[in-house]
Amino acid sequence: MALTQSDRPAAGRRPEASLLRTLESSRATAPAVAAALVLLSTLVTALVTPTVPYEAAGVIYLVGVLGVSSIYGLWWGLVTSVASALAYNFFFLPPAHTLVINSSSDWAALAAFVLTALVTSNLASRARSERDEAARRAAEARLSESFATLVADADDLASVLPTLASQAARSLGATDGVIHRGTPSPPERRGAVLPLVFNDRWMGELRMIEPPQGALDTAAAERVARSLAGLIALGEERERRIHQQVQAEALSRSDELKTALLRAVSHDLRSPLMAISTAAGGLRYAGLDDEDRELLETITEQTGRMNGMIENLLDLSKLQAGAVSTRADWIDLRELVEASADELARRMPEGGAVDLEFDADLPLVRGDAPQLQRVLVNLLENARKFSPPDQPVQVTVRRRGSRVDLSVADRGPGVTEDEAERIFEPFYRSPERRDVPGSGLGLAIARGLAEANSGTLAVERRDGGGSTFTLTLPVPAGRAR
Amino acid sequence: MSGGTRILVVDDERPIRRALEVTLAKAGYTVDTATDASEALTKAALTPPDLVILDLMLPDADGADVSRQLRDWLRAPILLISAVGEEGDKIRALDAGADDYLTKPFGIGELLARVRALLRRSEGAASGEQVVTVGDLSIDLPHRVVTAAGNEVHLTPTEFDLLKELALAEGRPLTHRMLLRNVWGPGYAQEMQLLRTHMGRLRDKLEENGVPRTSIETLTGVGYRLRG
Repeated sequence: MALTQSDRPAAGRRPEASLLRTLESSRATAPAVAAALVLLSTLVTALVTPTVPYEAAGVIYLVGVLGVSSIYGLWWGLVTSVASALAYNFFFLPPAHTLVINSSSDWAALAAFVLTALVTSNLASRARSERDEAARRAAEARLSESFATLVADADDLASVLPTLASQAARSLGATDGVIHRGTPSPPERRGAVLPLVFNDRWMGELRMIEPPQGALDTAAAERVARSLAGLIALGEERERRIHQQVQAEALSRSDELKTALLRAVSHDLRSPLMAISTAAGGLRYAGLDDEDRELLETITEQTGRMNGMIENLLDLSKLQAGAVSTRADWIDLRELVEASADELARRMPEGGAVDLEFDADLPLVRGDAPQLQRVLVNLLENARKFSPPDQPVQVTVRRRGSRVDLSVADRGPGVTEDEAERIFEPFYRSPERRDVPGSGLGLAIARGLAEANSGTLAVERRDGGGSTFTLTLPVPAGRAR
Repeated sequence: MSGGTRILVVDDERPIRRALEVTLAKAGYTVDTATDASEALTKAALTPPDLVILDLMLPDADGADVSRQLRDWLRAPILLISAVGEEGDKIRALDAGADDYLTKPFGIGELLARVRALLRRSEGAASGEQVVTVGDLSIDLPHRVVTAAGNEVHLTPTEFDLLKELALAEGRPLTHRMLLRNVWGPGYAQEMQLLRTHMGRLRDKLEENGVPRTSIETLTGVGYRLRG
């Protein structure tokens, strides 16, 4: 934004006010103007006294007093009043051409004049300072508006600081200014330096070039400083927000990329398997003999197994990439556990019994049901694999205050103390049970998904042998059934 | 084989499309194939199929859009083929008018069973049966009476409506949204708490009367279906 003269409050905006402004701008003209007005009033009074009584003609001097006090303020108004009183007394109150006053009515006339002159000059000067104040406020408002527009339009704060500094300094009567944002100036430079403080934070300082002689108008300077400091703070805040937004966008783009990549990989890996299993399925009408049928069975079985492994690897990659998104909704835990047991029965039809036990009146919890089912199925599968076939796996769901524990207990070999954490690491397999098939991913995925749903998953030794895995989920406050 | 039951297979992957085509043909069906949504819509319009097998992820449209467009004018059942983790797309397609789904990889036996069930239902559609029987369970719709092995099961009106919806679907999956909308009303489509709570109580009552809880199958993340 270009800086024009009209933005400077010291210069007159309205042409009709320009003469007044010119006079005001130099106080040195005050004695001359006062003297000229007193002289003029004397001449006018002299001209009218033949027709107007001299007691009334004194009013003419008041015009001069009014003029001077409204241009130069109260003190010059008072000086003009005194000068006018003397001139009136000297020229018009009898005896003329002396300062002697004879009649009491003339004393009264003079006293009335002096009183009127005092009141007039006081009123006029007050009107003048009010007008000045209003003009200054309007100028400051324009300045603030132009500051705000500058800051709002700018791409970055640093690029608008020179213009802001310039406008602010000129509004305070300096030739130009610079906003300095390093360290505060030493105290001896304070006269030409305006500290910019916002909420007790030092935002910088305005250094003025060729500052006006004498003291700055402190109230105006304070207002300008406050407005500048506020705008700098606002600009900084805006820059910080934009920066954060850019970072968040970059982050979400990389998350989206990861998710898209994993989805593509999962599609590419699964499609051939899908084709193999469908094609193999089609061969069941081919009139195969028993041996051929056995081979076909192997193809079908192993494609299923491979699909499971790919599923696990993809889930693990998603968890490690932080690309798991949960869609939380209300879950009935009994339903979830029963569905998980159902799923286990489908996967391991000859797997053995699973006993379920539920607290009465379990609360609903929030979570991603397919993910939590995955956790439970993995735990059940693990428990079933390590338990003797005649020992049922025991699932217990208990309310514990503000959380719910879902325990899956087996009669397997149990875990040693130093294994208790390691079994949740990807690819960890118990050295003693290498004979049990598996990839070592099920528990790692279970824990990852549990945590993604604000839950925890831990293992402990079970009394009488075996292990108990416990998935703990929070109960949403105040929404329990 | 021409003149038999016609199935339209829509899948963009040639090996899968071909394997399905050959297998279904061997099972006695007349098979048409399409590689994308626009070809599927054209072929379905030229020769209306009796059933559509639709891959959920097509290059030019998603399953929900294709289901909706087909459902506008085609009565034939739509069977979706989806991958694990596509629950959201699956639900949208079911809500848009698809009838059932299979999750990859599936056995051919499973596919053929689903195809047969869907065809059987669409042939016997609008039979207007007043009493639906599922296993030991008998649901008298006009009299709102449910019996399990001859004993009356006392249900609240909401529990009855839930069971009725499931029974009328004849083994097809119903999404949470469908059940909430049909039983409670259009404004309740998101009120999962209601559905979970009442479904739990319905299962409790069925179990008390000797009907296994799993008679109502939980399709985790999708909805429920009544097991035949």
